[in-house]
Amino acid sequence: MTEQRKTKDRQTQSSVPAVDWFRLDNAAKIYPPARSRYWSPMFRLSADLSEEIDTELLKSALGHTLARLPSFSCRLRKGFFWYYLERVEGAPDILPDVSNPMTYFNVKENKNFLFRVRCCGSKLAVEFFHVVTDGSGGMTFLLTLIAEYVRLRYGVTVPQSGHVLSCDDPPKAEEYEDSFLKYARKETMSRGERPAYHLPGAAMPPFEVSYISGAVPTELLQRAARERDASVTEFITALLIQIIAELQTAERSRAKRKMPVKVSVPVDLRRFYPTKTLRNFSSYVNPGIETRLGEHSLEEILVQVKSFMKSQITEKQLNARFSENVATERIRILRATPLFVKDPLLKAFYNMQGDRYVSTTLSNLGLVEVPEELRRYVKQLEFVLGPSKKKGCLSTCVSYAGNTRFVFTRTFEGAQIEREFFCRLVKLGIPVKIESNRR
Amino acid sequence: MSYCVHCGVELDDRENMCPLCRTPVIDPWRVENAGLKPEVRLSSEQPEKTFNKRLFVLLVGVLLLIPLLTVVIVNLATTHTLTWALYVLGSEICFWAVFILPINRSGRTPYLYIAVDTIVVALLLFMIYLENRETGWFFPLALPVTCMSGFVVGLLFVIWRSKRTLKIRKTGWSVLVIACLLVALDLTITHYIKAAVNLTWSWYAALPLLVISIVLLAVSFNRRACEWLRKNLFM
Repeated sequence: MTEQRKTKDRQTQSSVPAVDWFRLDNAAKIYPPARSRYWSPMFRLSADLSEEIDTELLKSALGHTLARLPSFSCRLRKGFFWYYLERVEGAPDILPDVSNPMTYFNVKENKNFLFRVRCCGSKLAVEFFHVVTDGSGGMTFLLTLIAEYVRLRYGVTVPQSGHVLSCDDPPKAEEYEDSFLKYARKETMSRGERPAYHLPGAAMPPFEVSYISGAVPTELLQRAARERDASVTEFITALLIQIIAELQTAERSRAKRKMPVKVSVPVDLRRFYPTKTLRNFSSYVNPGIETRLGEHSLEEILVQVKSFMKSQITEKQLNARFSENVATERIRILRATPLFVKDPLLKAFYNMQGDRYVSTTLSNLGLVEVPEELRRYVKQLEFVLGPSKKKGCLSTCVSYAGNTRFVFTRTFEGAQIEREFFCRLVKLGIPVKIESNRR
Repeated sequence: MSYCVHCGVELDDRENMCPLCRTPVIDPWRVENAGLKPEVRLSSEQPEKTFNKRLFVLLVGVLLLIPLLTVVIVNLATTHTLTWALYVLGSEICFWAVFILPINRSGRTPYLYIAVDTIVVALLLFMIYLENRETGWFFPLALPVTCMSGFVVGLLFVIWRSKRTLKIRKTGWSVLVIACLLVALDLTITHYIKAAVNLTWSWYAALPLLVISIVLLAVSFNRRACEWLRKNLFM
């Protein structure tokens, strides 16, 4: 197909009627009230490409990608009762990369788009406001953008598979459906939990953040997990719990020493439902240990984490959890309350409850497979969570091309968790290569 | 390739110290081995410091409400009708419109605010006039003076907002406008007091201002004179 023909097709397809606005999904509803000048719930996905990026071509690729994925071309608006997303035309500017990404996000400075595209040399990064999508949807956007860029730059057509969508196809309605509403059932489950221990620390100045990333060979990490009869997520969750529990023993307050240590592990719900949505559709489980019962070895923690995750990560359990949230959203009095009343109440609720029940977060995007045609151009992938309001340290990991990349986000001084985590991997015979943003 | 001697992790070539334990990287071969691409130093993103105008305007509004409510209550309690409390109400509205409202302006032209200010001042004077009608001063005196002042302020904004005009020429036009205002004020006041149309005091101020404005405008249209002034009077 010639270039002219393709452009013509794309123009025809972009004229496919798309919704002008849509409601926020269930998970996104809390984020707009909770954000502030000093904090926005964000995450970042980046890729190191094989050559320096041509920003003009990237702009064109971004335009085509937005025409294909219209759920990303939207701005946040206030209705009388709820926030909603409204379609916007055009594309955001390509911004230079910074050393402290995701610490500050002003949508007005970004042409009202709820994601930012950054570029520096061969590195391409997209930062998403969590209202628009989750990690899986974000990865689809990034890889589709890269595939389109590769097509424009090298003339290589990347076949559609996994996270890569073809920009020649028209937008699909199921890609911007609210799957929470679609799959929620009447049976719910209370979210009641004990508050978890939070590591103390001196907060960094506003708009400063530390990102420490460590790359390890995926095969060795998988082997270390397999030796303990666990998955990689279970193994690293247990390792994190053990490290935090050890640091908790140094706590002076007796009450704090007795609090449980729990790690929030997001779960992609797309595994359980036949959905193609690119909007938020994930839940979480909070495995942990009761440190007041005594010192736990890694093996003991692993037993608990494995059994907890096995029992909790089932369709029924997860459905009951998110159905509870959907049921809350459907409460009539809450729906009928004007936004100017709801807004401060939701903000106060998030500030008090948002991070209370977990010590930290470990978000594992898993192994990302890309088509062979694209693998030549993408050297590595990285997934970073933006700073949390209360949790001083968050972690992510993503595996690609034989490497697993962990990134620790921290807004507290020091690097105790990161140091312990990577040193333990080294002691297990797994080499780690470290990089940071605070040079 | 460097390793941290404490943590045992490999460090990226751009790291000067281990990010985990802050141990410095000492590699005597580093300079010789530096066949690497020069590192792109990323700048740190900081938001511009902003002043929450909306909140400030709201806060001042609430603060102004307190004395207003107090005087209204006291006035009603003592005289069973609103009399002198109206002066406070009018003054507060004036203060709000003149000083506070423009703070919250975002991209709007100042002409709207000048018009609002003129109307608000005229209304305040009219309210005072309603309480004090003996001499019939509002329509022949207060209203024309308020309108003229508002018009002149608007004209000065037009002059000073033009981007291409030289400052000296802007000053010349401004001085001329002020001279005209003085003459107009003199005529209005004299007409009100003596029922005659003649100039009294404004001669003394308007004539020198007229001369100054003519000089400034003449200089501004002469490039050499302008250059001479710039050369000799720069600060």
